Formats: sequence, structure tokens, C-alpha cells
Amino acid sequence: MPTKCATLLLSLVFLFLVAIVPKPAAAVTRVVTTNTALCPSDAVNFPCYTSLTVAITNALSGDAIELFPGTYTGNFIINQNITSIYGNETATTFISGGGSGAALTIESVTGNITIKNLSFVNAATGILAQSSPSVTITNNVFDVGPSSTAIQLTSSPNAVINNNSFYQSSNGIVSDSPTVNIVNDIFSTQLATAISSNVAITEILNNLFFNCNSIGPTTISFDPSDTVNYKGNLESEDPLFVNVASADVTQRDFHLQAGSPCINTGNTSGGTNSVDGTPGTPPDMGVYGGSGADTIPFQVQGVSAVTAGTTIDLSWTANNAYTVAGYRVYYGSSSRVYDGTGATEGPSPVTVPTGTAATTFTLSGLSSAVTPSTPTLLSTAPVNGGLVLTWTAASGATGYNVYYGLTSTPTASVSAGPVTSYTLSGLVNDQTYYVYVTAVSQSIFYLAVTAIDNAGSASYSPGVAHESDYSAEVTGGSGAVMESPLSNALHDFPEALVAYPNLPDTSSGCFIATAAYGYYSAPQVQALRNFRDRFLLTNEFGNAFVSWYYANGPAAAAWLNEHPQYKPLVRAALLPAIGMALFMTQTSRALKIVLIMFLLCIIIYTLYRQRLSRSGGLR
Amino acid sequence: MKKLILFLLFAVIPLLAHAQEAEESAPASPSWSFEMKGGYFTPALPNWEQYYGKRDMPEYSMSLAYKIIRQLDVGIEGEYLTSHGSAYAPLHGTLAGSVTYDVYPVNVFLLFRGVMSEQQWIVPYVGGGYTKMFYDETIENQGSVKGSANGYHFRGGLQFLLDALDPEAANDMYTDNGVFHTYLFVEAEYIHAVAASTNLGGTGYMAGLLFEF
Repeated sequence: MPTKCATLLLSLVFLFLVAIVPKPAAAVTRVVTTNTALCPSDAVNFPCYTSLTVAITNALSGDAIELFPGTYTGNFIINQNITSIYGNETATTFISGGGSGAALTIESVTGNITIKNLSFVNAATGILAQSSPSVTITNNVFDVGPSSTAIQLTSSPNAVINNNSFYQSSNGIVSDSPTVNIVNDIFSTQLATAISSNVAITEILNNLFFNCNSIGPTTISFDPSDTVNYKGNLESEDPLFVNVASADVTQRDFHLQAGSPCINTGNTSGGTNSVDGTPGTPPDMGVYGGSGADTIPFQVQGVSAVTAGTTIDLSWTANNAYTVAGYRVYYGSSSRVYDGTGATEGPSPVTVPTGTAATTFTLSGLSSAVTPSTPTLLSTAPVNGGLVLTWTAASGATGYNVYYGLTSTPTASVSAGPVTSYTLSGLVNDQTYYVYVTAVSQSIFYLAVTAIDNAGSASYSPGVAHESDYSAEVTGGSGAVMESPLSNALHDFPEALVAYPNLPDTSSGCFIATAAYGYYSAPQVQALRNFRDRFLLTNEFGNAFVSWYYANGPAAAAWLNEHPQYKPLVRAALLPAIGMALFMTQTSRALKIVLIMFLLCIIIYTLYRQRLSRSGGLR
Repeated sequence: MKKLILFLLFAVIPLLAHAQEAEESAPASPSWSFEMKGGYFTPALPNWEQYYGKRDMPEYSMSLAYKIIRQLDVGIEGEYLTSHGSAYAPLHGTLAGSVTYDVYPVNVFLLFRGVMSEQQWIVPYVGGGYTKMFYDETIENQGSVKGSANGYHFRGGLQFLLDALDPEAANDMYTDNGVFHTYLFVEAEYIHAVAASTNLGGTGYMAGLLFEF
């Protein structure tokens, strides 16, 4: 019995200890994205970050880090035993050193670590591995800069560097260890040395060296008949990247064009091509060869749309990657929602069947808009030189036009856009306008194009696998613009508004007239101001008069405000000046000449009659 | 009521003790004062609410004063008042458009403060002086009307000495910044300034902080 009790007690103690001892944390994949909408819903196994630095800081031994498309700028340092850091899509996932330092440093990582599917740009060193004995660098682009080093290995033996594309750097690989495995890489335009090492690296298999100042190891043979030293390496043949001419490094495409010497000439240790490989066939050299390459074609560029009736003609720039087998045209009636079904060519997406040569496509038979209902013009409100119109929304309308004129027949129109209130401006104060509104409608389609590869029965998905992400979106209208009949008419006139309280403008202006007419914006005062601006301030004499008036006018205006009983008298006295100002500012030059000649004729005729009367000739 | 008296006693006794400590360490009296305040201003204009939708407008102010004697300040004050509302279409006889009404009163004032001790908790004050009231009415898409009016103003209120609440902080304010006293105050203000037979003044109620240095 005591033994049983002791056993039971020990069991309970054991269970208690098991319960309280902390379990090791399970390894997770830490996701980094600049777009938090892309964060996985499983936040436990896929914690999400917007900063690569924070993700690295939080990473524990055994974790992986996945980078979603974007540019991550900094000098990032990994010094814990994470298993991998990889991009979601090589061509759109950039690690930039910001122009200096190492973009990514692997420091004293004792376990296996893999770096893949990333593009390293704008750094003094792309990857710097220090005291890390088991680094694998695969399926990356190194486009770090013409005076930079792509990969530097310091006290880091046993590195595996395969299926990478090195372009236009000073040195491709610098290593102080002989036990480095360099397989299926493309070294293009290495301005100093492709592989720089003070020890003999033995495993350099099936690489292409093009336009390199120096290859490096002297033991490499490019002669297939050299049975001792030839190990599948190629020299002086252009790898035929799709596009490395773009000044913008983010637009460079390191896929291979048809005819590239790197197609199916890699070492089989790189695995079967993930895009188009068949078992037993050697993989491609470069970033998109082997089993670790991402399968997403480069995004289609230069998409444009031209509308003709109910058809939309699309065109785009060809994607010349040899793996691209066709394009898909997506369309829909809402932005980024490509669920269209009405085209004669079929529902969205329509696959363009004729391969990479097809860079145009016509969607036809698209639906036209129906005539929208007629809106009701609700009200007008005056503002200075304009009218504020409001109307009811019309069903089916994608926009509205405002019509107006001085009679019930409108003579001008303006597009108001998709609104139900609009300020019609540029009108003449105190002039009555008739206004109307119509509703307009047109079918608008939103379109995008993707490229698909030749993976056969693969499941396509834009930006995920075997299909590029959507191109930049374009729009096209289908059918005629339909317009409703004119709405009911309203008529109104614009006028200068008055603020409350109605105060004089003593900073500049017609002080006496403002005081006499009671407010600054009175049409009579405005007429005098217009005359001042056009006929006085444009000459020396007028400027002198205005200066004199500004010096003395406020006192006179103040006196008038203190003696308002004289305001009607001043208003009457100002009438000739206002009439003259209106005549000078509101009439055309021809009318001015005609009226002046008419006045001259009257004066001459009057003088002539007076002379005749004095001389007794007129009875 | 008894509880209230007891509470006030318990609240006031510590303050008295702190005030005594502060008085022992306080240096000579200040020569200048600076105040910042804010509140609401009710214009005397009869139809204000009809055009601007509410009876009041926000008011902000700062002033700087020199102490001729401990009980008499002379100073200058700048204020800012603003409101948004509707303009008027005179020929239509309706409200239309939108207007922004900004007023910038500048006051030159004399202020009498009932301060008998440097550690007096509550200081009543009253003052007044000349007011130059600048205005700026801006009608959207039309233009602005600017000008000024002359007038006068009165104001009065109560200042509450804050030093006693934290004598250590008060001493730091003096040693670090030269501030002798800090007051929290409330005041009422009346402005009268006429432009074109219109009184642009009104009544304002504000609260703020006063620093004596």
C-alpha cells in the first residue's frame, strides 16, 4: 500500500512537472508585406509584419521568413538559426542596400539557411555570409551595381550557390573557402571577376560566363573535349535575358528568351525546371531554372485600349520569355473585378490562343448603356458670377450635363460629372439664365492582361503560379453615350453676395460709393471698381488719381456713414460716373465708336443750329 | 452642507501650508506678465445666428503686460475670432454662398489687480482700454472685404494662484524660467467697436493661464 501511494505520488509529481515545463515554440513562417491586406488569416503560424527588420528581430530558431512583393531597403542582418528567407515572386521582391553596405548579412548562423527567390539591388554587397558554414543561395537575381560584389563568403565553407543570375556587378562571388558549390549560374557583364577566390574552388559546374572581364579560376575549361577540366561551363554566349536594358532595375526581366544557350543546359543536380521541366531533362541555368524557381511570368507591360462602337481593341508589349505560351484578357464592369461575361469572345478571362506573338486582341459584342431616366432640377441658388444647381439622381446615370442659355432654348452645356449638385460659373451677374440638366450613361469596362506559361495542365492563378500578376488596368467605353431628355427648366440670375455684417472695405476700393450704396458688392460699386482696374490703374495719371482718392476717400466715406441722410444725394451725383463706367466697361469697341460719333453729330448739329439762329438764317 | 464645509477645510489647510512654504522661498515681485486664453464670444450683432448658425464664435487671445506697480498693469493684447456662415443675396433676398468672418481685435489696456500678497490665492482684476478691431469677410469665389473699427473694451475676472498646488514645481518654474507665479483665470470681456454704424463688439467669456515674470 505504501508503494502504491508512493507510485501515485510520483506520477502526480511527474505530470505536474510535464505540465509546467514550457514547451519549445513551434517554428513559424514570418510573413513580411507592405500591404497588410495580404497578411495570412492564420496569425499564429504566419505572423505578419510590415518591416523586415522587425520580422528578423522576432524570428526564432527554426523559423522561416517569406517576403511578399515589394522593395525592402536596409542593411539587414540575420544572426539566428532561421531555416530560410525567400521571396514570393523573384521579379517583384527586392532587397535593396540603399546604395551602401550589405543588403543581407548572414552572420554566425550555424544551421542550414536558404536564401532564394529574391532580387538584390543597389548595394555594395548583395549577400555577405560570415562564419556561416551551411548557406544555400538559390534562384536569386543579383543586380547590385557596377562597382559592387554580389556575394561575399567569409569563413563560410560549404556554401551552395546555384541557379542565380548575376548581372553587371564588379565581382560575382568572392570566397575565401575552396569548398563552395557553384552550379547553374549565369554571370553576365562582371566588370572585374566573376568568381574571385584565393583558393581553388573545385565545384564550378554548368555556369555561363558572358561579357566578364575575368572569369577567375584558371582551371575552368570550356572545351567539351577536355575530359579532365570541362564541367559543362559555357563562355561568351549571350544568355538572352528578356530585358536588362531598362534603367529602372525593377523593370528588368531575367527570364530567358527562346534560343538562349542556358535553356536545358544546366546540371541535373539543380532539379527539374519548375515551369516546363520533364523528369530527366537538364534544367535551365539562371534564376528561373531548376526546381526552386518561382513560376510567375513577368507582368505584361504597355497595355492600352481603343474603343470603337461595342468593341474594345487591346494591345500590349510582348513578353518574350520562352516559357510564355499566351495571354489572358480580363474584363469587368468594376475596377479590379474582372467578372465580365458579355463579350462575344467569351467570359472573363479570355485566353489569347496564338502564343507570345499575339499582342493585340479585340473584345466585341460588349453591352451598351440604356438611356438613363430624366433627372429633376430641384433648385438654383445665386453666387457671384454663377448659379448653384441641385437635382435628383437619375437611375442608370454615370454622369450629368448642365445646359443653359439666356432664353428657354439652351445655347451652352457643360459636363458636371457624376454629381447631383454643380456650380455653373462664368456667368454675368444680374443676367437671367435658363438652366436644365440631363443624365448621361455609357458602359465602361475595366481591363487587364496577364501572361501564362507553357506548363500545360497547370492551374493558372494571376500572380501566384504559372500566370503573371494583372497588368496595369485600362478602361474602355462600349457603345454610344446615352443621354436623357432635358429636365425641367429653372431660371435665375447670379449676383454679387453680401457678407453679414455688411462692412465697408477700407483696404482698397470705392469708399464713397460703398458708403452711398450701402455695401461693397453693390453692382454700381462693382462697375466703378471695374473702371478703375481697366482704365485708371493702367496709366500714370489714373494711378495718381487713385492714390489721391485712397488717401482722402475714407474720410469722406466716414463722414457719409455718420450722415446717412445725404446718401441718396451722393447716389444721384454718382449716377453719371457709374453710367460712364458701365459704358466704358460693358460695351464693345464698335458700339463705343458708334455712340461717340452719334454724340459728336448731335453736338455739331446743335452748334450748327445755334450759329444759324444767331446769323438769322433759322426761323 | 457640513460635509462640504469639512471637505473645503481639509482641502484648504494643506494649501495654506504650501502657500506659506512658497512664500518663504519666493523672491521679489515680478515686472511682466504674459497670458494665453481661449473661450467663446457672443457678437452684439442682432441677426448673427441667422447667418452663422449659432450664437457664439470661438475666441483666442494672448497678451503681454508691464507692471507699473504691483496692482497696475499696462499691456497689449491680440485676439482672434472666426466664424463660418452664409452670405446674403440682396436682390434675391435669400441666404446664398458661404462666408468666413475673421476678426482680430488689438487692445491696449490698463489692468487693476487686487493683489495684496505674493501668495494670495485669488486675485480679482478689472481693466479696459482702447480697441482697434480689424475685420476680414471672405465670400467664397467672390473676394474679401477688409477694414477696421475703433472702440473700447472692458474686462474683469478672477485669477487663481496655482503655485500653492505644487510649491516645488513653482520654485522650479522660477529657477528654470524666471516665472514668479502662475495663475489660472476666468474672465468676462465686453468690446464695443463700430464700423459703418455696426457694432462689431460683443461679450466674451474666456479662461487661460497667466505667467508673471
